[in-house]
This record gives sequence, C-alpha cells and structure tokens, in this order.
Amino acid sequence: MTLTTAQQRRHAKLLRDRDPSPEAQAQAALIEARAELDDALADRPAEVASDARMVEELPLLGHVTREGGKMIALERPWTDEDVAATEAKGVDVRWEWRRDPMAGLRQGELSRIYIGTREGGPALCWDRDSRAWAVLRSRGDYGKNWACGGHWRADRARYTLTDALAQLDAATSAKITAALRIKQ
Amino acid sequence: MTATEQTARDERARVARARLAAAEMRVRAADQDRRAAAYTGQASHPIYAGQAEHCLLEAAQVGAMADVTRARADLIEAEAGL
Repeated sequence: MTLTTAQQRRHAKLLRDRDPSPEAQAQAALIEARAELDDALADRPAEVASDARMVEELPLLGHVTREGGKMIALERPWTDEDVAATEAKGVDVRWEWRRDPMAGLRQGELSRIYIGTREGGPALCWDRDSRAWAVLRSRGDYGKNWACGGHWRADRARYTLTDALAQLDAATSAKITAALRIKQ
Repeated sequence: MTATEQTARDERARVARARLAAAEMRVRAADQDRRAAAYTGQASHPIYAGQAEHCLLEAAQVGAMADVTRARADLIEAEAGL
C-alpha cells in the first residue's frame, strides 16, 4: 500500500483541507517535504495526483479505503450495534489506531486488534507487522478491560484467525466465533 | 547532464532536505503544543491534591520545549534560505 510522490502530495492536500488543526497542517507539510525530497533525488517534476486512495484488506472489516488520512469506505463497518451485540455475548473487540505525529502517510492506520472474553480476558491479537493473529495468555488481572487489560503474554506462533481460534479452549473459541459471526 | 543541470539538481535536493528537517521539527513542536494544552486542561480539574500545580509546571516545560523546537525549525529554514 504505497503512494507515488504525486499521490502523497494529493494526500497532504486533502489532510490540509480537511483538518485545520496545527498538528494536521504540520503533518501535511511533512508528507509534502518527504515527497519533494524523493522527487528531487530522483530528478522528477513535482506533480499532484487527482487521487490518493489507499485500499487494503483488514481482518473483520474487509476492504478498507483511506484517503487523506480518513477512512472513506469499509466493506464491513464495525458499528455501535456490533459493539453492543458482541459485548452482550461476553466478547470485547478493541481497535488500536496509529497515532504517531511522525507517521506521515501511516497516521490513522489500524495497527492492532485485540479480542477477549468476559470470563477469560485477552485471547487474540492481530498486528499489522505480521498481518497474523497471536494467541494471548492472560494472568487474569484484566479487570473491566476484557480485550487487552492486565498482564498477558503473546505466543510466538502466528496464525490465521481460524487457526488461532482453534488454539483456544473450546468454550472461548465458540463464544468468539459466535459473537463475531466468523465463517468456519 | 550539464554542470548547470547538476548544480540545479543538487540545489533542489539541498533545499528539499532542509525543508524536510524543518517540517519534522514543526510536527514535533505541534505535538509538544498539544501535550502542553492537555496538561493545562488537566490542571483545570485536578483529580488529586497538588495535581494542578504539577500539570501547570509540566505544561510550562513542554510549552518551552515547543518554542525551542520551533526556533530550530526557523533556524534550519533561515540557513537554507527558505
């Protein structure tokens, strides 16, 4: 999911127009400056593309399109109703979004997903670097934060979601599968 | 490539490097401003005795760091003739 320097300028312009905050304006300038340096080193003209969409496949959400640092389309939106429905079934899903001022184009991307149950606490974690799921072993001190609270340890092995669910105990796996409506 | 073209290319890269260094400084400064504002906001409704004083001190320190960071960005731009 890379953008050309012309697309990076478009991305920066959209960010600049959308968000007047000093942070967003400074981040837009940073993206433009990185694009300009790349073009200068490659001896390319400074151009602005008409489109800067970034499309990627994310777990649970499907195809996600971001433009100018904002999500503009989701194949399967995770709505407030989904949050209420999963919590009612004793499952919590937490989304961790990148909020790093120096991240540039990567600002606002999904970096981790945590899934846990009311009875067992943190159980699964997806992370962007491996683009795979890890099984979490909680010490049980997760409190009210079932998805990622307290102390836990992630297994080294990385799985698809289906394989990761198979590593959990049957009751937890069945509960998460039912709550997330995962097709087996 | 002629010598003139090479000089123009080198100059464009030099300016771009300076602009990038200054832009990175300004992003840091904006983030420090945001943190200073957050400390100031927390100072207005402290949740334990002494937190307001602590937060105002932190806000002043982080705000001063933001000023230094911005001044560094200004210096980089001035030295590069931007």
